Amino acid sequence: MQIKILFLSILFPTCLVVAAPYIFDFGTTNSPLHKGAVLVTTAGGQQVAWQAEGQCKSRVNPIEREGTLATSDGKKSLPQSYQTELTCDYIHASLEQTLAILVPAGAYKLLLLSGRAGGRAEVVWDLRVTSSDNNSAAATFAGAHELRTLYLDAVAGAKGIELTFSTRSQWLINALIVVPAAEWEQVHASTIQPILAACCVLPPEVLEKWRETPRLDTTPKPVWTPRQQQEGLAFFTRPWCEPVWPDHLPRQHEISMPARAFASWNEYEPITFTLHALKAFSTIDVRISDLINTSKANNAAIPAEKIETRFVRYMYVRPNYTTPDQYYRAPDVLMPWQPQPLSQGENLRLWLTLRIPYGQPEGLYHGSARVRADTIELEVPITLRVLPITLQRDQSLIYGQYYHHPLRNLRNAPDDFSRAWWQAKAEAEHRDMREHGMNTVVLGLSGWLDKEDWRFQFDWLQRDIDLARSVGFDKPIVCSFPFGALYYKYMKASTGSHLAQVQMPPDAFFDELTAMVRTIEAEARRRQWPELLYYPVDEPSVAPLSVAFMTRVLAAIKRVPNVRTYVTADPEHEQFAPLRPYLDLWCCQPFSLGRNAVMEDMRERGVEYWCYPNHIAGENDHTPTLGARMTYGFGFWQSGYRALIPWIYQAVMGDQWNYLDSNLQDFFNRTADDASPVPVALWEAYREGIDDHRYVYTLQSQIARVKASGHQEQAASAQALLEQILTSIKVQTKYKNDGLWAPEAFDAWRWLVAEQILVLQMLPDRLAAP
Amino acid sequence: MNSRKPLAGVVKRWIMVCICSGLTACAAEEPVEYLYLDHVAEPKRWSPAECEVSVSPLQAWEQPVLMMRIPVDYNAGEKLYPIGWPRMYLSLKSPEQVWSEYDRLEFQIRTEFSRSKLPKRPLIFHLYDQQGKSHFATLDMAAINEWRTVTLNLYDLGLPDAVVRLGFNINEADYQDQDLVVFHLGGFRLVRATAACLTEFSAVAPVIFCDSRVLPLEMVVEGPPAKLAGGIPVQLTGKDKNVLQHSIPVIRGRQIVNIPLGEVPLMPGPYSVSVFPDDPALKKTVEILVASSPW
Repeated sequence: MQIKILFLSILFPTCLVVAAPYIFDFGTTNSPLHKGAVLVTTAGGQQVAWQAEGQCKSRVNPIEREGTLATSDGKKSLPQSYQTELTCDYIHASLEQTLAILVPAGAYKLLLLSGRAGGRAEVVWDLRVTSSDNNSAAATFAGAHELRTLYLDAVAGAKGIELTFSTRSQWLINALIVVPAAEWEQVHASTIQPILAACCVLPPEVLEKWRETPRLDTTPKPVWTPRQQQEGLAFFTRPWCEPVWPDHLPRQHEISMPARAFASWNEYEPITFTLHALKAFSTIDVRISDLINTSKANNAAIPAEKIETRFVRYMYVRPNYTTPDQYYRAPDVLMPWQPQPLSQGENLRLWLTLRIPYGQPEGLYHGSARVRADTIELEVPITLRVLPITLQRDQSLIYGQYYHHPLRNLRNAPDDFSRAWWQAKAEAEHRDMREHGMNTVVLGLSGWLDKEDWRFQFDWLQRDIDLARSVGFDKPIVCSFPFGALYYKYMKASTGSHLAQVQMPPDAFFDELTAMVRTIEAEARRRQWPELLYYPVDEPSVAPLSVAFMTRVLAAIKRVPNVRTYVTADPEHEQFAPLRPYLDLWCCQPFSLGRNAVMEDMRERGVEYWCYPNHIAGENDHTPTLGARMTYGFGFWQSGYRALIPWIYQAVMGDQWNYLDSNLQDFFNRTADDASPVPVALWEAYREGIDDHRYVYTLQSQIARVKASGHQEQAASAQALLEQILTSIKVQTKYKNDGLWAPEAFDAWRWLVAEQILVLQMLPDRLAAP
Repeated sequence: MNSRKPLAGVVKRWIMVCICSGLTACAAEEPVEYLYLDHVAEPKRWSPAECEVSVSPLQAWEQPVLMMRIPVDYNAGEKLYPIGWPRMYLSLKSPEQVWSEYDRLEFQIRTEFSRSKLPKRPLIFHLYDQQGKSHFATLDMAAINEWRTVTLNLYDLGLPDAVVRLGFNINEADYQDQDLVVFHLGGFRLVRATAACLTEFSAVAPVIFCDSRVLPLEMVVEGPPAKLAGGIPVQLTGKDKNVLQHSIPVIRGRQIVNIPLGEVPLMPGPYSVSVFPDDPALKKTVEILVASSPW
C-alpha cells in the first residue's frame, strides 16, 4: 500500500480534479453520494488512499423520512434519527488505519462526521483521528444514532495530509471535509453550516415542516456603559434557578452584579454568571481564580481546580415531548467548559459548582472569573460565604429516579471496551445520583417462561442492587417483575399501554401471580436484599375493567405476607377507590392530595404517598428550574409526601444530542465520552431543592434539641421563621413556572434559616433527666 | 358611553357600570365597560364531539346560555381513546377575534351532575391564538346547581392580539363511567377597566437581601394604555417611615415589576409595600421581610 500512496503522490497534482473545499463521503459505490463529494470506499477513492486495504468494512443505512412503526394513535412514527447522503454510509474498522489525502501543501481545517451507525445499541464506538503533524480529535459514543462532529487542524506537505484512525473498540467515519485554513470562515458559512444543520438538526425537507417558536424577550433594552458599548461585552448575574435564554437581554439591575453564593460544609453550590455579547467574538475563554478567605488572615482558599466549570448549552427543544413540528432554543445541558465563539446578541452562561470541604474556615472568600474575549479582558467578581454548618438530612425521606440501567447492555456489548464503558457509565451515574441526594433507584427483575418453568434473572438484579448499595442507597427499591409475561401466558396478548387492552384473566392467573411474588420475595430474603416494592403495572387507566383487574392483581400480591405494593396512580380519581385496601404506596404525579389528607391517611392506614413530578423533569419543558427547586425543597417539605421519584435520570431517543429526532423528545442528563454524566440545569435544581430541605430539617432538628435543653425562647423564634415560610408558600399540586417565589427569595429564605441554625447551634446542651 | 369604535359585526350591547360590586375585582368606584358576546352563546356556532350542545332554558346576567350535555361513556368515542375528551369548539370570525382592547373575558357557569361531588377538573376552557396555541384554564370554580363567575384576564393568559377559537372539554378520566354532567355557560362578555387599577398584587419575593438592587413585585394591571402611561405610585415603608416612593411604569396584564432600591442597603426587618398609597380606594399593600446580607 505504501507503493500506492507513493504512486498517487507522483501523479499529484494532476489528479486533483476537485476544488476546495474537499468533501469526502465515505461508503460504498452503490450508496447515495453527497452532491459534489468524492466517494471513499474501503478501496480508497479519488485523491485518497488507505494505507492497508482489506482491513476496513462499510455499511449502508437507509435514508428514511418516515418511520416504519405505527404509533399508538395510528400515525406513522418519526425515524429515530435522520440519515443524509453524507451520514447514511460509512467505513469502519477495529484496527488502526491511515488515510492519505492528496491536497496541495498548506494549512487546513478538517471536519469529520462520525456516527449514525445503525445496528446495535450496545456498541460503543471509539475514534481517535490524528494528523501527520500530530493534531488529534476523538469521540466515544454509544449506539446506533449519535452523530459527532470532530474538528482538526492539519498541515499538508508534499504528500498531502495523512490521517490515522485508531480505536479501543471500533472506529467509523461517514464524511470528511477539508478546507484551506484561510478559507475556513467563508466555507463554514456557505458550505459547512448547511451540512451540519442537515446532519445534526434535521434535513431541510424535514425541517421545513417544523416551526420555530422562540421565547419572546420582553426585557427593556438596558443602558450600556460607554465601556460596554466600546468593548462589546458585558456580564450579568441572575439567580442560577432562573433560565437565561439564548438571545434575551439582561435586566438592568443584573448587569455587572458580582456572582455570589453562600454554602455550608460538604454542600455543593452553583455560582453562575452570564456574558452578553454586543458584538461577535471568535473566542471567549474564561479562567477562574482561587477563592481566597478575606475574613481572616488564615490563608484559607478554595483552589480554582476544585471549582467545576461548565457552560449552559442551548439545545433545540420541543414544547412538548410528543410535539412533532415545533421547536425553540432553550438552556439545557451543562457542558464542560471549553473556549468558544459568541455571536452578537447572544448569551453565554458560565455555571460553576463548588463543594465546600468539611472544616473549610468560615467567612467570606473572594476571587474572580477572568474573561478573555478576543482582545477584550473582563473580570467578574466572585464572592462566597462559607458557613460553619453541618447540614442534616431527614433520613426518612426517599429520593429516587426511574432509570434505564446501563448494565442491561453488558450482555450484548460486542467487545471489552464497550462492556467496560457501560460498566463505567452505570458506576458514574450511581455516584452522580448519590451526589445529587438520591437514595434509591427503580429497578426491574427480568424473567421468562421456559416451557412451564419460570426463569428469573436474580443475579442481574443482584448486580444492580450491589451497585446501588455501593453508593449508599439504603431505601426500599421499586421493582417491576415479569408481570407482562405472566399475563401473556394466560391471555396470549399484552395488557396494552396503561392496561388499554386488558381482559380479565382466569383465577389461575392471580394464583400464579401470588406464587410468583412469593418466590421472588423468598429469594430476596435469602439474598438479604433491601425491601422490594412490587410494581406490576405503570399508570393503570381508570376504566372499570382496568380498575377491577388492578384490584385483583394487588390483592393477589398482598396474599404474600409482609410485601408492599406500589402503583403510579392518582388517588384523586375516585375510580381507584377499590385499590385502596391493597395499595401500600400511592405514587402520584402531582402532590394531588393536600398535606392534611396525606398525613391523616398515612397515620391511620400506614400507607405512604409518593410523588413522581414529571412536570419538572424535562419531559415537556426543559426549563422549569425554579419549579424543580420548589418541588424538591420547600414544596416537598410542605406537601407531607414521603418520596420524589420522577421519570427519568436519562431519556435518550435517537441521537442524544438531537431532541428533534424520534417520536419522543430526549430529556434530562446526557452522557460524555468517558461515560460520565453531563448534567442538565434541572438536575442541579433537584440537588438545590434537597439542600433547601436539609437547611429546614437541620433547623427543625436544632429547634428540637434546644427545646429539650430549655432554650424555649430561641426555639420559638426559629419556629416562627419556619411558620412564616410555610405561610408564604402558595401551595400547588404542581410547582412549575407560575405562582412561585421570585428566584432570589429562595436563597433569602435559606439564608434566614441558616442564620437561625447558627444561633441555635451555639446554645449548649442540657443533659436529659433520667 | 365609551367613544371607542365597537367591534364590527359583533352583536353587542354596551353597558356602563359605575358600581358593579361582585363583578369586577377593581376598586368598587372604578368604572368598567362590557361588551357582550352573544354569538358565543349560539349553539349552532359550536362543533361538539362526544357531547351535545343546545340552548339552555336558563339565563346568565339576563343573557342567553349554552347547554353542554355530556354523558360520560368509557366505551364510546374514538376507537383508540374510548376514555376520551368530550369537547366543543367555536371558530371566531375575523371581526370577532380582536379582543386586545379588553382586560378580561367573563362568563357564568352552572353545573348539573348525576353524583354529588364534581371532580377537581370539572371542565377546561381553551382560547386559541393565531398560531393555534391553546391557552387554557381549568374551571374548577364550577359548582353543582350554582352559578359561578369565570373571570380570565386576557393578558394574564398570555394571549396576543387575536383569539381565533374557543373550546370547552372534559377529560373523561376525571369522571366515572356513566356519569352525566351538564354545563350551562352564558353571559360571555369582554370587560375593560377605564382607569388604571390592580386586580392582583403580591410580593413575589416575600423576603429579599438588604443589599438587593431591586424589589420584585407581581401585579395584574388593568386599564387603558393611556391611563397607564404615567405609571403607578409605589411606596416602601419600614417602621412607619417611608423609605422610598417611585412611580413605576406598567403595562396591562400580569407582570413582575422590579422596583429599584437605592445604593444604600436597607435595614433588615419587616417592611410594607403599597401601590396607590394615597388613594384609599385603590391602595393595596403587601408585607415583605428584608434579610441581612451574607456578603
